[in-house]
Parts: sequence; C-alpha cells; structure tokens
Amino acid sequence: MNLTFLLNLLKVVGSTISQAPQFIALYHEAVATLHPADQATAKAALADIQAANDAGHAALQAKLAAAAKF
Amino acid sequence: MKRIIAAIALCSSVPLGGCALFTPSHIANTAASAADAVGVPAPAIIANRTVLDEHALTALELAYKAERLALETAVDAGLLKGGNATTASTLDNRAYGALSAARAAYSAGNAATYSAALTQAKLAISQALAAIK
Repeated sequence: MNLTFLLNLLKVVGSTISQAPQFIALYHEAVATLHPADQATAKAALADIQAANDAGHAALQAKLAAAAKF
Repeated sequence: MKRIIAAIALCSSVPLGGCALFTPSHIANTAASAADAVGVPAPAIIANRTVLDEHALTALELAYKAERLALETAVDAGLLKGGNATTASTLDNRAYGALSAARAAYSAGNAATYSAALTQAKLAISQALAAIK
C-alpha cells in the first residue's frame, strides 16, 4: 500500500485539521480501498470515490465562492 | 520502396512541419490501427489482469479527497475567506483538472481498442496541460 502522498499531505494541512473526524475516516477508507482486492471490488471502490469526489468538488467550489465574499 | 522514396521526396519539398506523413500523430494513428488490425490483445484485456491501475487511480482520488476535505474544514472553521478563498478555489479547480486527466488516462488503459485508447490518451494529455496553466 502506498500512502506516501497522503502522509505527506498531513504536513501541509497541519495537525489541527488532520485530527478532524473527516480525516480520521479518510485514513480508514484508504486502508480499506487500497487493500488488495479482486477486479470487480477494486472497480466498484473506485467508482464510489469518484462519485464522492465529483459531488464534493461541486460543494467545495460553492463554499469557496461564498467564503470569497467575506 | 518506390513509394517510400516518393514520400521522402514529397516531404523534402515542403517545410518539415508541413510533412503530414511523419508527424507523431500520424505515426501513432498508424501504429494503433495496425495493432487493432493484427489482433493484438486490447488494452482492457491486459489491464483487467491486475488491480494495480485501479489502486493507482484510487490513491489519487483519495489524495484529492484529502485536499478538498482540508479546504472545506478550513472554510467551515472560518480560516479561509476573501482573496485566500478565491486562490484556494483556483487551486482546487487545477487539482480537479489533473484528476480528470488521470481518469482519462485510466480509461485509455481500459479501452476496447488501441485506436480508442489513443483518442482517450490525447484527451488526458490536453486536460493535464490545461490543468497546469
């Protein structure tokens, strides 16, 4: 399992944010989805996180647009 | 042989950039068509023998998720606003663009034919270039 990128990201986001519940859940998700799996399971996990990222990107852009007005 | 000599003669009579026979795109299209024609196993057949490509893209998707969660948490905590929020928005769009390029590259590796893979790879490259502008 290669989590180097994610581990390096912790240095950037800082200790406060990295201890948020969302980040703890993300690490559990990383361990689960990157564990060796069969082709169908790996494709399904990939499709799930892609859908979450598409929706999350749109939501984040809306939040940032609102925050930019302050 | 006469055809090759004629092609070289034709190309030498025009500026190098104008020779359509030896452009990288032409060579790639010819190679992809030839691979499809002789029945070389499709990219999807080879890619489905391993989950490494799925794991590689999943790791990238997780990395993007970590980035967007960090930004979202910072907005919720009131740490990110005004011009900094605008900058963060631009950077997030850039990261999402690069992610889209990686998704297109993954699709190319799982294409039904080499010609389809080539088309998708070109899309991935153009998206990657757009993402770093």
